[in-house]
Amino acid sequence: MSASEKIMNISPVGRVEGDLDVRVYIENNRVVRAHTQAAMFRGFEKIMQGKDYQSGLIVTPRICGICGGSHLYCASSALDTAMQTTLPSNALLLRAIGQITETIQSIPRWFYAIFATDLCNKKFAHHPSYQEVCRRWAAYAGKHFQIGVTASGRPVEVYALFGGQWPHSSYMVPGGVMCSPTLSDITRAYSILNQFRNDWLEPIFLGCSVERYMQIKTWDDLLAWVDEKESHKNSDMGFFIKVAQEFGLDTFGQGVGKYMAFGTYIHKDLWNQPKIETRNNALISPSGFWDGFNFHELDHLKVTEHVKHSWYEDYPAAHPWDEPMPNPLKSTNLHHTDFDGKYSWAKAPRYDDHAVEVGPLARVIMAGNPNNKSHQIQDPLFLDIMKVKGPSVFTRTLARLHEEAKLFSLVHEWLGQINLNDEFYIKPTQRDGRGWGATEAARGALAHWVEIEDGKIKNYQVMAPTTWNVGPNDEKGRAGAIEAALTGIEIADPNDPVEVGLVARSFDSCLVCTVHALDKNGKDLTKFRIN
Amino acid sequence: MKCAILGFGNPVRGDDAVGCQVIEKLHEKFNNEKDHIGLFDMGTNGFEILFTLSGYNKIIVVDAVLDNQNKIGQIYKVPAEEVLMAPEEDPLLFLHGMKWNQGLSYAKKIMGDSYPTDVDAYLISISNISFIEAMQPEVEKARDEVIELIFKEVVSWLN
Repeated sequence: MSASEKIMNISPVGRVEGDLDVRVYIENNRVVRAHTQAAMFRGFEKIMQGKDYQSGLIVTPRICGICGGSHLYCASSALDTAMQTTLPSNALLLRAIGQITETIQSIPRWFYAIFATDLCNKKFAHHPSYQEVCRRWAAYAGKHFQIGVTASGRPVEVYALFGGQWPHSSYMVPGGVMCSPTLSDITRAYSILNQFRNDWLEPIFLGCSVERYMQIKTWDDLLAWVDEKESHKNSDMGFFIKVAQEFGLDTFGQGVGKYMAFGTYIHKDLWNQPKIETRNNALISPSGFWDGFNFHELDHLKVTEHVKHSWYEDYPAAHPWDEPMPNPLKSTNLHHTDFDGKYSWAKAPRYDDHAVEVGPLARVIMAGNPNNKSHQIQDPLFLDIMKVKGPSVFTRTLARLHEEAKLFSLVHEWLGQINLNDEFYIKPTQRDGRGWGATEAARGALAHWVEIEDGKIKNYQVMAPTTWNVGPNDEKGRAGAIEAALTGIEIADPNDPVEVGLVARSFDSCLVCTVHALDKNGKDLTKFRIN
Repeated sequence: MKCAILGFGNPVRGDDAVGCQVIEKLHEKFNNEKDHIGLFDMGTNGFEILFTLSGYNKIIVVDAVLDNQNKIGQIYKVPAEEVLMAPEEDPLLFLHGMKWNQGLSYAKKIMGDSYPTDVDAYLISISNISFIEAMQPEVEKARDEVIELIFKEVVSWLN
């Protein structure tokens, strides 16, 4: 380490102090090396082993308070493929509606409550738009902050209509869904979504109709749309496009340059006999791998996990179905970690031997694949943006915001396709086998692999989006997506490293943490003791 | 007059199940009071508290707390005002990391006059948050105590 190099530890990123630590090495105000350290052994595979084959439906939605619906989508389809069930069209629609409403809510909630408030940091105060940024997006006080955060509660009301509650519902089961909505449920769902559109989506966020926004096909189109009307320019989308470039968010946080999506929203008529090999074709939001130049069809068998830099006994990189039960080793705390050795509880997933980024940017790139089918999303915008602007904090954030209009139009369409007189569930026969279920959580590709033997779980593996993005180096010493995106960025003020936060937040890390350390925040609990 | 009781935690993370288990067991005890009592298993989604308060006069939060100062199973009753935490005090806050006390800070600002004034939290000291479906006996004992404390408090409030 050179004399001018400074090590900065930033902790915590997650809910519990120490859950995810980011260590960046700074030399002359530039990050020269970055490591992410997941600081907790999660041992999920061990809790599932030997349990009843359906346990994933109950346990996995509890992995995460934010993406419970996404885990349920995976758990139910993993069992569908293992048990070779038959799925009614209504069930595929209601599962997709659950998944999509969870994502639609996450976009404004993440943007206003988490991301945009960072733009009010004093680092940006010298920019001409700074005052307006704070007027709109400052935590609590921002005019649009309140409207956006409040509106974000609406979409999951639709989820709760069908799923009983959100989060942590278990209404998706092998063979279908455990609900049979009435006409008044459907009407209520439309009414909730219309309120969401009228309160926020069109007047505040887009400044135009959903239909007009979706006509944008290129970066030039997008810039022309911003200038077309005052309402577009003044919308949060239009304003973000201007501000992000003014603040330089398009200049850092590039990442690994390779993208992977498992895809989601299975078409109601294309997966009634669920099979892993027919899944790609049945998706509405397409799957795939983009290496920066070419698209490749997704094959889940090309997924492997590496443990060379993880606190597990070494084994060669393996597919989740073939991974041994993890044998945890002694971990070290952040300050005593050798980052050339083992340094994280996270494993390092790779696709076809590549470190990849997953998330909204990966999804909107896959939407530009010229080979997408007529039932799949076809949207060339981000292939063009990747050519003109390239990846960055701005591009990644824009990708997430861009999805909102299309997802809203899809859920409207699907609600109208539910046939109340048809079945919602076809009871399957229990059967041993291997299964794979996958989806796109709001923040990226999520998958469950299951192996059932004698009606019990032999192996259950969950690979969350954050595993792809925050994972450590692999066997060949190659960085994960966030590590790569942090390397090289300039830090203006090491005492307030807003750039590190913006990069990490642009990936929306999802380490699940469970306990609040209230006493760590200087609050003396002793005087409230009652036993 | 309506009271909402909100349990936070994770049933598959050892002692952290306690908040959810309190809610599950209160369902049996409050079986005849459905019109006046809202029981919510909030899981690990701290932000969602913002959307759960509306229409209630009294709020009781139940959660686990990592507290190295005192014994496992220690129960605290804390006015929520004492533990409110503004999200901007947490420089790297993520959606997944949002705590209910941060969610309450949002709620207080966003709900304005309709924010309920009577908000208390029962917090239970725990230590094991590994991925197992079992709580330590001290935490189970504290859970049962908290159930009785809440039941008495709410029945007396309703009368």
